[in-house]
Amino acid sequence: MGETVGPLVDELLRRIRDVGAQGTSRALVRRFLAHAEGLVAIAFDAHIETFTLTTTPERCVYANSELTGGTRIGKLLTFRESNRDIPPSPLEAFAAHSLSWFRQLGPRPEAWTALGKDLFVLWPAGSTARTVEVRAVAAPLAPDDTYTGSDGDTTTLDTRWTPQILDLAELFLLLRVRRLDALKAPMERLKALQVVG
Amino acid sequence: MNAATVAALVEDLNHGLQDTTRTQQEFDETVEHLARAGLWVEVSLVPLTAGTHLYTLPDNALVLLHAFYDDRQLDRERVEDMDIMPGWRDHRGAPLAYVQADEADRTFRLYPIPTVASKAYVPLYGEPLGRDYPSYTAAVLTTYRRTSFQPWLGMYAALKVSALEFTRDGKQRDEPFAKACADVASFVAMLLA
Repeated sequence: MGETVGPLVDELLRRIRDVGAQGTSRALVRRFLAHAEGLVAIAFDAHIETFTLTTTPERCVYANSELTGGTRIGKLLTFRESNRDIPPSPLEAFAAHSLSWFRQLGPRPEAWTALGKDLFVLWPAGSTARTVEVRAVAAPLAPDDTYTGSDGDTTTLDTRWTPQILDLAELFLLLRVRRLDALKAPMERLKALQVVG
Repeated sequence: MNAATVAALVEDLNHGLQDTTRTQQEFDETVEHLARAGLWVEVSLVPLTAGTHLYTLPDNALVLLHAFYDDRQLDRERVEDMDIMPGWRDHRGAPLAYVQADEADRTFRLYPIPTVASKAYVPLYGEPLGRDYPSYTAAVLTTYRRTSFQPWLGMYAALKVSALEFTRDGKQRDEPFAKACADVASFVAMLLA
């Protein structure tokens, strides 16, 4: 359960010494907050979602975007089929197993690997469609340039991640208000929080 | 997240002080940087012509990671190693390997030279990498440039674009701000690594 956005906006405006939101609108602070929340979700593995992949026959390469909401994925964690975990494997291991791995068919997927941030291999391909459960770190929200939200919204990440979200949003806001000498403090706090995890 | 949405974030960060005529170019440079870091990978089919050895990577492709011919992963070979084999440039048959001069090379050479043309791609199922995969065709796994990308990368991209923009000559030039944007972008990248 997250926190109400309004008090977080108040806190950020206090940190950048603009409690009256004279130089920075509350809507802009909310937008930066949303971007900070997305980055914290990925950077700290703070938001894990389960996606469903329906495979297609004779294919082993898939894009994250083929999963509903998959463009929000930052890191793939586990693949599971019929209560069986499918282990991760480096791409090189497929070729070591067989140079024909790319089009090889098998009764069930035996391994998976991520390629960059937007593609993965589920090997070997099957001759029929299958359903695979994919757990992944994902950003909770996809804010675009029109996103303004409202003070009554709540953040998606658990409250334990609020310090990280605030520090990162503060960093972006300090840049905006050109308080470049103040950037170091939130960065140091974030580094310390990353170590604590 | 695309050029327009990143441009809006850049404006939010910079109070609209940036030269908007350059934003697209700076966005493209940022995308190139992210692509070269290996963030985005794609698979593309490359139709082959019988008797032709040299093929060009798809337009958006940057670095060739692996190549396949039908179901076979091709070995990557160096020209120097191939030259040990007399007349290798004239050998014909089903491709077993590919040769690239260097990573910047946008072409790759198949060895041996294919003797059979690729079958046409017929989208019966709409699955070029699945049931519709045309026989005798090559596929390449490459890093590539995207025109839109994951929304959570938007602020990082906006920081990189701002760093580029405020380093350039012009009335908006502000080196301390540009350096701060670059530092924060590096910091975000460190968090994401």
